[in-house]
Amino acid sequence: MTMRLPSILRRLLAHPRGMIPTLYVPTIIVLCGLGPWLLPFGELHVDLYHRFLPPLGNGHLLGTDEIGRDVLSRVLMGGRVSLLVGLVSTAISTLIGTTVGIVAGYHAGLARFLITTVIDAVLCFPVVFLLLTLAAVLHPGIGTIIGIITLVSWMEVARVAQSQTRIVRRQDYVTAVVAMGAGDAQVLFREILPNILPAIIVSATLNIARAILLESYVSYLGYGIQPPDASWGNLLNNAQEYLESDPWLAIIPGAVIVLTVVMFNLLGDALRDAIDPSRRSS
Amino acid sequence: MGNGNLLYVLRLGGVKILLLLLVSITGFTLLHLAPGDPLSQFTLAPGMTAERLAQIAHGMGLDQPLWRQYLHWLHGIMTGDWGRSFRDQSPVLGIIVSHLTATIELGLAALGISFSLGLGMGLMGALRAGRTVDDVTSVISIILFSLPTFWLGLVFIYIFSVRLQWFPTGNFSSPGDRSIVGYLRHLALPALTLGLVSVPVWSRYMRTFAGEILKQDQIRTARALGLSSGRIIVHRLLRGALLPMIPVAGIYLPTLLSGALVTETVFSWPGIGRLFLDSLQYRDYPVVMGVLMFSAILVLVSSTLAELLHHVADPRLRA
Repeated sequence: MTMRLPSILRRLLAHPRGMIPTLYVPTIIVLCGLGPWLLPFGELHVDLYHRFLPPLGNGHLLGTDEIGRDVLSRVLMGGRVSLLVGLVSTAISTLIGTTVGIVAGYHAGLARFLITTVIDAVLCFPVVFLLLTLAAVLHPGIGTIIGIITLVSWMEVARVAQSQTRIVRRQDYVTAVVAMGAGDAQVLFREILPNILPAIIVSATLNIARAILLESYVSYLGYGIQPPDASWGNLLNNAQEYLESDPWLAIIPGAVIVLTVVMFNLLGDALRDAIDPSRRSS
Repeated sequence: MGNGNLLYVLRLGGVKILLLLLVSITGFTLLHLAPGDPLSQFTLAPGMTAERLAQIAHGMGLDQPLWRQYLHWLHGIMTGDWGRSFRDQSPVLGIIVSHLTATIELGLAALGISFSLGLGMGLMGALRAGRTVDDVTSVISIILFSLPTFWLGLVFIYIFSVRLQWFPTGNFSSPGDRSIVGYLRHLALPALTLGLVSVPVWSRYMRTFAGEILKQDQIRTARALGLSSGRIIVHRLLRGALLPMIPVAGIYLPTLLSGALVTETVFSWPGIGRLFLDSLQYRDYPVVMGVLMFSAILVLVSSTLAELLHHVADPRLRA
């Protein structure tokens, strides 16, 4: 499982199922990052004379919402928040998960038992209930959302890191390095970490998809990002009221969420296949 | 045999009970440190005095230290007294049970949809491994896996209720209509929503397990000898792949509950998911805690049962 970037990239781009998400993910990140400077309408610009414009109406590519704000601008601004939440919470939870997983995988004994028990437990818990309780109790904001999503999503990475560490730890060359008197730190950083990294990256990519989805749930239900700030979830917050007359207000932000989450999931799958071509997963 | 199995059951059960305690302590502490006091509903009442307020607080046990409140509450949980709702003083367990039927009905309907679709998709993918059908089913399962449940619900409402007007937009039943057809029409969209988003739970595992069995020799031999028609292969696959699917049921329930929470909100379905959200909004802590505990117990019990069943059903696991 050696990781050489050029060859992995080549394999990723060889198949449409790898190429499309590999191109989409940077594009959406750049678009949301630059979006507000590209568009003529501010995302908070209220225009009561042009409420509920359908897509393509009066220069608004995706129409306007219930107080005349440009939907495309709102979607791009919302994307900043949603992607930020997805990326940052995944970065933190990957760091935590990897550390915890390696510790549990490297040393057998009580630590492993406790950690794996806790991981299994939280994994089988209906996470959304816990997430909402936390979100309702704490002060709402981006930081809070990132914090609670991190809290409920480090376990998946930890589980992967744990099992991978155990596999690598048993390899002959690692046993040899240990027998030659290498210290724990050396074994961990020089032998184990580089070898489990591919699996961690795959798991992290899938985690981003999940984090974006979780944010959308919490914000849709009104406990996440608070208006007037936009996020992909809270754009749908009162869209149900206007479903009959102005369905695009619900359909467009949702479609962007689905597209992005699908792409991150496809990217994770494609990465897995590109890193380890011997297993074509379903 | 007997001794090892007993040990296995004890360890499994012990760990789960510890977890339940952990969940309850976390939840209890959290909710009591939350802003918004359960007393706030009384402070604005006309003629309210500080003394009267203290009396009410005492009556609700709110003047006790937190750990005593917790122990009191825990004792109640085990003896069937789950506290009373802050909203209308009715017993929490009763409220939960009265909302449970709606969730069970929704859950069973969704289970039927997702299990049959998931099984079918997984089988098709495994039988046509590496071909277009496999690619298509796996992309479909990724898309279903990536759908925000609430959005799928909204889209269904728009298509089937607003445009086509085939189904009502929500609720349990229409006023004055108690017929079974009316009920099924109300159930259709929420069940379809919840069912579709949980298809991947089954389809992915089915694809993997069936794929593994197909690699095994018995089926290859049978095929080579010309013994197996398509039907026999499917039959063997189902028998072999359903066994490892048992623990998947343990994974399915939390997905179902989380999905039900959102689905019930979108469709105004009067189940425990919506009860939970309503209670959260009203800061009705006893009910919030009750639903949290109830779902945790449900999930832990069912996953334990699934593990045990799998342990019993699969002789290879009995060392």
